[in-house]
Amino acid sequence: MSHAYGSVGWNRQKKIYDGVMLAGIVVYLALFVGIGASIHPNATVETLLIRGIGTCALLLLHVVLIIGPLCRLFPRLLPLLYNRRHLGVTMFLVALAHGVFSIFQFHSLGDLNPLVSVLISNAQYASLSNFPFQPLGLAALVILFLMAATSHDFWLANLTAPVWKRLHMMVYVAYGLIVAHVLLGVLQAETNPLLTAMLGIGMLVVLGLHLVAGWRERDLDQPKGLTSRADRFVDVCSVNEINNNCAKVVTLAGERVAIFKYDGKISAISNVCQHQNGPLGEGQIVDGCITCPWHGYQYLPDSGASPPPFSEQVPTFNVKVDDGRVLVDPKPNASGTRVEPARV
Amino acid sequence: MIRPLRRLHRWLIVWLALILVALFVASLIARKPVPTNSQIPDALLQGPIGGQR
Repeated sequence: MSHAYGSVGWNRQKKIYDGVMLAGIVVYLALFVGIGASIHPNATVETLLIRGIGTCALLLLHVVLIIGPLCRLFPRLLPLLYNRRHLGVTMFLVALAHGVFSIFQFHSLGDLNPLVSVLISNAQYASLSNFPFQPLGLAALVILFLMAATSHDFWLANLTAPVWKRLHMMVYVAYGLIVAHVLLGVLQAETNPLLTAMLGIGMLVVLGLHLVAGWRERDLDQPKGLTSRADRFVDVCSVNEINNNCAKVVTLAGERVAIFKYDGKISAISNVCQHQNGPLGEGQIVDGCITCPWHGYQYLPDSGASPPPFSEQVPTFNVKVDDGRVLVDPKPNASGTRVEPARV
Repeated sequence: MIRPLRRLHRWLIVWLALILVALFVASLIARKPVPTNSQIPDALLQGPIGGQR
């Protein structure tokens, strides 16, 4: 969390994360080229590198995509999410290397501009086995470029979180294009069932984890039979159901509300962190501030505003305690509006 | 995540799953038979210059 933009807010965890990631990429490429050369002694180094870099990018994309649902299902893995942005940008750079190397190898020796050659050299769109798979990879690369270029808090703040989120959801379109690029490209020529099985397992893991995590989230959004009183306040739970310095998350009028108990008081704010829409209700109160479990953004529980000099704000909700029951008004206050906490 | 984004996310995942599973099966069916000439796989690995694969 910072009130000024820097290129990268380096700290020890990020350096370790990036070091492990880069070492893993180097080891993977060395193993791929080494083992590939021993199995296919006639293969050129260029071919092995193009394939090694391509499969490395594909593997990294799978890792990037499973971190989100894994953290939803197993909160203990949240440290993986902390620096996912670096993993994503690295994946783009590896994919870019694959694209540039392939275009140079296969499209740079003709009369046509290499990029034009990628787009028009094969027009067999009606054939699955000869489908022009390279434009699919190029389209995915353009999407990944847009994502990598905006993977910074500067863009997140200026585009606003909802727009930024929508742009970065394009990763799923890029994933679809890349899987199609592989299925209709190399896997039409390389018929080793092991390669097909590996891609199939990768798809199952990515899509399966997302579907399971989505199903659990859907459950959370279902109405739980909460009763609304004449004064519009909704009885959401007993005071004792909320652990100290933690929250209970309820869905009111279709939006999630995080109700925190701390220092003998109760406050309710939106569950959505303004940074990347992380789940504030799964965080804890640290040093008097609600701390987002994703990237550590902090908010004061009574006002939903970040402590100075930070400027983030989330909506608050009027709350009261009656006979040991927590009552919340489902109508949100404007972001940053201070609400007197209810006394337990 | 706010409600419209959550809904968009779910729809994206469901459609992606359906499309990719269909494409996976179709691409396997459409595959050409494996050539019997043992020289061909190595030759394919080289990749023709200026060609598609």
